[in-house]
Amino acid sequence: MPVVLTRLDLLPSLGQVKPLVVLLVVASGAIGVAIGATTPLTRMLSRPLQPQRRFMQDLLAYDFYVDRFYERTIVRLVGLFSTAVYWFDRYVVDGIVNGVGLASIMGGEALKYSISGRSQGYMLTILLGIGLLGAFLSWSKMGF
Amino acid sequence: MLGPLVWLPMVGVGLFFLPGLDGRRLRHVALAIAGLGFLWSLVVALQFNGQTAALQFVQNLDWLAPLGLNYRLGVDGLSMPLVVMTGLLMLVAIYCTEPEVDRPRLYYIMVMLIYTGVIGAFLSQNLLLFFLFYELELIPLYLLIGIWGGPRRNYAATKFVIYTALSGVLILAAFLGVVLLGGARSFDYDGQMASGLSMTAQLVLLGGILIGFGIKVPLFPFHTWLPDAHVEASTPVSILLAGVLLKLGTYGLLRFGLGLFPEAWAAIAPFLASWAVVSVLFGTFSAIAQKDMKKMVAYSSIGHMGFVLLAAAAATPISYLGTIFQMVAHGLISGLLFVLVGVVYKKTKTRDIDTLKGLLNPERGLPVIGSLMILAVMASAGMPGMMGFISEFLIFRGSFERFPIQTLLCMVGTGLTAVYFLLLVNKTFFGRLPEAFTNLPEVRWSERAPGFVLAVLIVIFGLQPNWMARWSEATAVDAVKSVALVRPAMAQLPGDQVSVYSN
Repeated sequence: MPVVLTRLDLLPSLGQVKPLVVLLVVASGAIGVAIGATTPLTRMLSRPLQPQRRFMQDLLAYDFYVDRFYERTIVRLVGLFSTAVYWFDRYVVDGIVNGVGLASIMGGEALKYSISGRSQGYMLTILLGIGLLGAFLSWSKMGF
Repeated sequence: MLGPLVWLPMVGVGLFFLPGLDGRRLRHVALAIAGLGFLWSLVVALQFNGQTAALQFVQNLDWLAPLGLNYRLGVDGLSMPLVVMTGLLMLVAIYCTEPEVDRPRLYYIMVMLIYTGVIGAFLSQNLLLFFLFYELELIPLYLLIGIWGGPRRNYAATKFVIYTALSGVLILAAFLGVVLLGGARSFDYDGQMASGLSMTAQLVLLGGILIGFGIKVPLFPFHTWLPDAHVEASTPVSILLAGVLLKLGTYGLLRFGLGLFPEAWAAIAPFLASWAVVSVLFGTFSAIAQKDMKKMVAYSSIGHMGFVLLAAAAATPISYLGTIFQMVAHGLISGLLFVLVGVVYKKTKTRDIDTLKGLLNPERGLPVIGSLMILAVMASAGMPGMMGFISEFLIFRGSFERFPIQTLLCMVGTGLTAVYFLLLVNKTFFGRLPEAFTNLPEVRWSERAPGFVLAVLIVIFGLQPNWMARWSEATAVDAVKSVALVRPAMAQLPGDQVSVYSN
């Protein structure tokens, strides 16, 4: 990883590192270690009786309930949204595609009844087709 | 130099008709042909000069000159990695084919036709010749899904063929438009052949190219054929489909969309980037909702191919290089995922995520397959040290300067990739192995081998990306020059001029 980052020229140079930020990060870690190492683990501290302290302890022990909050908001939201998106894909996008396919089949089925054997019917169809094509071409020519 | 790459599989087809060849021997012959093809592609790659963006090893023969159809082949930094990857994945797909496959002669002939079609399309430097090769893979793939597929194979195969035929019609119409409206004397590819067209004509023709290749990629909303095709196709066909055939779509977008219409491309680039976001997020969210392992990987492909559109829309040297990396990375990673899903299905007879559990069990489960699956999903989610990271990083780095909002939204898509793949691994491979799966058949080393090969390559190119970048860097810089030129002066960014990758 460091090799890749170096090759991509992504690692900041030492000149860009801010000493104050480094000091604060290291100091906060060191203070935490010092408090943890010097605080005796008394019975009262391990499970206090007062509700406020108990609440505070649980709040810290369960990481401010971030996991449960995350589970009940983001995870549930993503789950619901993904289900909705897949429903849309399956029934709307794919439904339109299948609908077009079905319409083509039904159109073909319906057209077979137009085969009457009368030549004037065929002539009318051809004339209508040419007329529509001509109208479309002249319209598109004007459009361009 | 390039002729054997295209025609070797066709020569090999003749060997399938030799008398006395049963399914097992036919598979050996097919493996030998694909192996030779792959080795030849490596020979070409070793002699390929990555310092230039010019076409190399050009072959030019008059064929149907009055029609403008010439046999013109050539390779550059865009097609070279794809040709090598195709050779490798063809070999892997044939290796993963069951020796007892039904109607083996027809099966391997179809695979070889696809091989010729795909390589020919990547190397063609004539629009009509490209179209012929592009269409050549349509019927073989239809038959591969329709004959050797699952229970709903007819539906899936028909859907595939209708979509792809429509794609072909649009592409052909756009090619004809370029040549007839542009006044070119032949269909020989030239980046300038559409430059004389009005912006309206360029936009209309580019629209045809975008939808035509967008179907093949596939991009939302033209994607619905892909999950069905993957679910019904056998493992080797899924490897070909995801690893090789989808790349024809992205290759077409870059070569014929960006390459022929730089002006129109630059004009609609913000729309393309937004389209990429929709495609990425749609594919990703749909993948999260899946219960079938194969369908999940299929939807993930829709998401990952959207990244290519984002980078192509940005059209900076870095993002262009990212598209090439992403195509190869996705080919290898999705190939690996389908190989592993195939083994799981073969051993457990199910791909249902809610049914499978505890497969990582070291004694009675599939621990090696599970470990490879974890590596594959990490690579797909863009974990550092693997090829997926490099490709996505290049894409985001190259696209951010031009489309920051769209790039950030696509990065959300990458984060969500980790969600669905971790769900997949967590549900199927961790936990207690159910009683029903305690006597799974043993996975032989020969079944693990393709997975190992692909996994090693994913890691190697993840740690040493410049082994591939050196093929494509010059092409990436050259390909986006024309887009950079037509952008308004204010929109010129430092990224338009930067050296891409290696020093």
